[in-house]
Amino acid sequence: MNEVEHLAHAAHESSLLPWIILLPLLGAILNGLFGKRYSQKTVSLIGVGSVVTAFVLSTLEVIRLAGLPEGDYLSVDLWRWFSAGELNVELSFMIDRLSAIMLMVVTGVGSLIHVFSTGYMKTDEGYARYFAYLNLFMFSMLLLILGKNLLVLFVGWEGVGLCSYLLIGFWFSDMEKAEAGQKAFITNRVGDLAFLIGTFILLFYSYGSLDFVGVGGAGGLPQTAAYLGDKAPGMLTLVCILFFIGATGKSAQIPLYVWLPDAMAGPTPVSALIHAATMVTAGVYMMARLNFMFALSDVAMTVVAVVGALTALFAATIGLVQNDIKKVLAYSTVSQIGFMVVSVGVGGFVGAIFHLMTHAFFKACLFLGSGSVIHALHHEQDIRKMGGLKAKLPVTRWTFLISCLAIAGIPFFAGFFSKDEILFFAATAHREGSNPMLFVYIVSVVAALCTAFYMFRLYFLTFEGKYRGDKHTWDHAHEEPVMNWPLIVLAGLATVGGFVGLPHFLHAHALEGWLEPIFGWLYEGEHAIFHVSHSAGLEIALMLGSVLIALLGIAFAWRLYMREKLPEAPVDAWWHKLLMNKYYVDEFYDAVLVRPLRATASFCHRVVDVRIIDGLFVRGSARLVGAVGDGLRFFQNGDVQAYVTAIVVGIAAILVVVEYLL
Amino acid sequence: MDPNYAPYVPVAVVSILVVGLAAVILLLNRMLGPRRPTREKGIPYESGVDPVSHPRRRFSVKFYMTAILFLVFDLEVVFIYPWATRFKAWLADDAFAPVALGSMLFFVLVLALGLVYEWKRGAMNWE
Amino acid sequence: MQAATTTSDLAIISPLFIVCAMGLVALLVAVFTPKDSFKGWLGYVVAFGFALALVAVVWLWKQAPLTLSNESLFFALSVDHFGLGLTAVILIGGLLAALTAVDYLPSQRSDHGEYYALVAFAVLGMMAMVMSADMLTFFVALELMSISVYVLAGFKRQSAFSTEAAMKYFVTGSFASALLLLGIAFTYGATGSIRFTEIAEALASPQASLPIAQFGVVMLLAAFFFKVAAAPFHMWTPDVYEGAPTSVTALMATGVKVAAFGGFARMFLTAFGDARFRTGDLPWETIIAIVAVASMFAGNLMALAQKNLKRMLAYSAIAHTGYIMLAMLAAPTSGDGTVWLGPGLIFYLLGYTLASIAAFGVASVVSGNDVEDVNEVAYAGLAKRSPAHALILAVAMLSLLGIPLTAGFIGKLTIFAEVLDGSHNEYLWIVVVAVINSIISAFYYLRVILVAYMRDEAAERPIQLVSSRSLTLAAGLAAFLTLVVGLVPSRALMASGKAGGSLADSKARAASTATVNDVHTEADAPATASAPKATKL
Repeated sequence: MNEVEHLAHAAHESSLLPWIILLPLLGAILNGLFGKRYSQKTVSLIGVGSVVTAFVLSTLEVIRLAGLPEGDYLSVDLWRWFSAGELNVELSFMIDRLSAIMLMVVTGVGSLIHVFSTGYMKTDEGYARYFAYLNLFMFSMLLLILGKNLLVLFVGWEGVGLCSYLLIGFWFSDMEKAEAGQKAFITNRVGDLAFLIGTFILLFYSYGSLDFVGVGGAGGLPQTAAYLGDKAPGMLTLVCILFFIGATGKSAQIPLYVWLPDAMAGPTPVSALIHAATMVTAGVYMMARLNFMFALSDVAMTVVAVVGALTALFAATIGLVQNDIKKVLAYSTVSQIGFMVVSVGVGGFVGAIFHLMTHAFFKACLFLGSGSVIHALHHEQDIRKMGGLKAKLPVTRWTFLISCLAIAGIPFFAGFFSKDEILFFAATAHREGSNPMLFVYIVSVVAALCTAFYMFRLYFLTFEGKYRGDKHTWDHAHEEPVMNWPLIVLAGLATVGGFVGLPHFLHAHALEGWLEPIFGWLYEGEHAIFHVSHSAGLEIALMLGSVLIALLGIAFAWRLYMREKLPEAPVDAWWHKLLMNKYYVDEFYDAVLVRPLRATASFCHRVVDVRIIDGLFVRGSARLVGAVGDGLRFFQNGDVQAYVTAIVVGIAAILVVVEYLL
Repeated sequence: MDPNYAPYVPVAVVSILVVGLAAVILLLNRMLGPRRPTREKGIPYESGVDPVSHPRRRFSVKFYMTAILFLVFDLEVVFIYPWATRFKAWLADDAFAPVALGSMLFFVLVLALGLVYEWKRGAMNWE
Repeated sequence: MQAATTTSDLAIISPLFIVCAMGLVALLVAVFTPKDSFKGWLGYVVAFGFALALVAVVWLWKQAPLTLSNESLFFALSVDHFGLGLTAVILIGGLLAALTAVDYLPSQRSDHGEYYALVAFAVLGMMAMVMSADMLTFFVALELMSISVYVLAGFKRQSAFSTEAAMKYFVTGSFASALLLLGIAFTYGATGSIRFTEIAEALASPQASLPIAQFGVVMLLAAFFFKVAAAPFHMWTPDVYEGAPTSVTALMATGVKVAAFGGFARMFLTAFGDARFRTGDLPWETIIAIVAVASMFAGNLMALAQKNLKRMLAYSAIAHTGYIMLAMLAAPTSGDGTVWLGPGLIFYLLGYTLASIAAFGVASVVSGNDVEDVNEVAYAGLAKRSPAHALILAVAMLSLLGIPLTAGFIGKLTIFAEVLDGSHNEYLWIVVVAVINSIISAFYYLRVILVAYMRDEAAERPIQLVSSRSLTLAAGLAAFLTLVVGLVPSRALMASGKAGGSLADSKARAASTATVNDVHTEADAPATASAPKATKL
């Protein structure tokens, strides 16, 4: 198995690693069990302290990792989780260069959001419970990113889903919010179904382990993938697509994105942490983790790219007309993850991770900013009732503006670099003997235009112009100092975060160098799969193009919304209705999936049970065996007869099957 | 005919005989016997419990307790009798003799405990 | 006699003796103590007996496979890893179920000492069932278990609900027993033997009467499907689970199911395990596959519509029957036709037992002031009233649903992987069906958590919780073990694998059977048990 040797690197034992994962769990347990008895200060100390400590430990480990020979990784094997047949699954974790980035993003952004939450949730009676769930989420997320094999990743995968469910439904007195939680969980389970089936198929072909790295380049998933690519490319494609369906659930892509906008029912910091920065990018991370598998399947990659591009555009267009500040951000998240998925699909794994990182910064900042606004306006979320808030919320306004510039792709903010890298890959990356997917590029560019427009529509309607709400709220609007710091830090990161990935023609792409041991083989060497243009001129041209697009979007928004009065929405236009109703996808799913399922259940109950069993068998047989029935009716209006009849029918069916059908 | 079914031929013959005999007897009875039906004669078990009656009718559980007691001791004989016939032969085998005696003693012990339970619960009292 | 074991027969069957003795003690205590005194302490006594038997089982496990030197016992019981492993699961279930009853029964005004005697006898039957090596022992064990449980189901005598459940269970159960007997009779007719291993040999010979055996197998299957509550033989389950006192339902969901699965799995794999029968002339594997799918759908779809926790759990039990039955598909076979099981079946049963006890334990807790209808109101807002119980309930639901880090997840994973491996992906469709079903099940399991944590209606109509240390202990222990087994499953998996694998020894056992017979004929030793050489028809 020569092809996988390039992935063979040495492991170094890490004793700090388990603590990074355990600390948040410990926090969750303490706050969850005894939180009611603690003062708010103690709860904050435990909740925030555990995550910040985890962040510090992570930093230490990542620094250690940076000092190791290129490509080596830190790992720890706790114990053999279970072994079934030849398969051994260890409960083991690793920090390699890929998970290191995720680790820093998750613990870093996580810490900031924990700090922010201490202000945002100050008056909530479920303060301890909130931090318990939040810590539990951090624990699951860390399991997900640090898992050394597919099953540990899956544990985290399910865990984050569960915590997301708990946190979305956090304000459960509102049944609608609880339902939103359930919707999220169940939609995710559909994705998990595909994920699980993919895992089972891999299990079947596995070489005794589901590790992401093989020992000496052999035995792990890379070898399985190489074997499949060699011997059963169809199966490989199937597995990749199954995993991608799993990713569409978690990362809110078509067709399973529907839960994310509803998930905004949870507290805003939760939206920032889970539904913007960390959990929803898990699908992208998973695909990057499995790059050795995805890269081998041309068909699957094309599907990924096309679905990503369509999602990016689709969600961006819905975002154009939404009026709930968090809904806009939600659709924007769906759309931005679409960009990352595009990047994976065209082979730009570095770009995907890069955008994942920058997006975590500016989107977390945007969400926290919206949280700050919502907090200041006593849970008002409708942007039509905002406006002119720059006077009241200066810090929020500036950080929000910076993040908007970043997401729109204005040079030299973070989003500019990462988005351009994606677009550059979409325009030029191709496999041997095939062309770049221009369709994907064009769709992505249109999505980028929409992004710039709706983000600035949001910004103008919220912070510029005149206030349109009631006076009482306006008078009481203020910022919470503890909530400002995270905003400032995130805005700073959104400003400078992009410089780790300077354009290729400058030959100073630090991130690419860092991830070289993981993704490098895709582009260089004898087994290279993707080819990218090296023309500096083309890159600069594309870059200028996307800046123009961004400016165009901002200009439109300026023209429409930078004024005193709220412009009339074209409510009667068919396209507006279509977008307002989110393309009627929820209604479609309700009609096609949810209702038939419910109907089947009630059909079984009403028709099969009541009619057929009770009606046909009970009453029919009652007449047939009327005399005997007299005696039996003693215990219960003949129901038992139905039961026995069912048994007899079952036996008869089996006999028929055995005798005649087999 | 499938040779597999050959052993069942006697069974079939007996079945036919039994059913036939019953039918013949009933038929002869009907043809020859004088019939002066009364209500009492019409019920399946003369002087027994009426098998068809209102489902909620109460009846004494004592009948059944006694019947079950009888059944238990009846069945016990089924176990003990063959055991007794073989016991002398088993005594010759030193290894097996204690097992043979012990298992029967255990059986009788369990049964006796059951009897004690029933007695104490009042199954024997017929007030 | 061969097989020079140092362990005496009495020691080998000591777990059975201990449990039997506990039952007798409970029976006598019940009748010699004042009628209205508190009988709960008997629960501790019986639980102690189960624990003692469990210790004995562990001790025997280390020496297994054991050979009984007494010939009649040798043919009746096989004390191998399979039997001992399942016995251990049964004892754990029985122990926890007995503890749930201690304070629950008084709250239902049904505190009678006979309860614990019957529990002990039922458990005795279950233990004998998973160890039985011939049809008659199997039948007697099954009846001992069933009759005890019939009575237990109607234990709340003043409740029409409970009596009705018992009556229904009894009538349908007797019907199933009759089917079982019919099946045994036909198999005997076809093979001339009641011993599992000899049946296998007889069926392998060309003279075997397959059509008759086929009919027998169908009858045996029907009885099996009834006992494990598989569709369409499941109709009694919801009524009985709902009507029976909750602590009895706990025993039914755990012990009865484990015993039925263990006993029948041994019977089918040993007696009818030859690949020729499993998929060929007596295609019971195909039938089980169909019935498994039917059970999953019937259970899960009907569970969606349930508001009553106990009834929902009954339908969920039907669905789980479907999952567990998959483990019997594609049992690995070696060249000489030896069949064994992977760890899936036994491990899943363990996980299911623990989660069920936890769930039914909480269901008992919320039926204080004699509540019979454990609907959503009963446990709405449980998290506020009693966080510990809500947590136990949540863990149980998550394990039943199969969320990672719980025993239920590992169980499902193991079974699915086993089926795929054993069938070389031929049964992929059935695994897909099973996974789809476990997603459907998310709806109703999560709703329970949702209601317990996120609703608050009980304040209007407060339902008294049964405050009981033993009940909380049993349910809490079950939930805790669910997590432990989910987190560190390797030991349990290894033990389950060893237990399942020991079924393969039946061939060796059959060989030793022959030796035993030969020795006896030669020495002209007194024939203890009538051991007819298989008289082929």
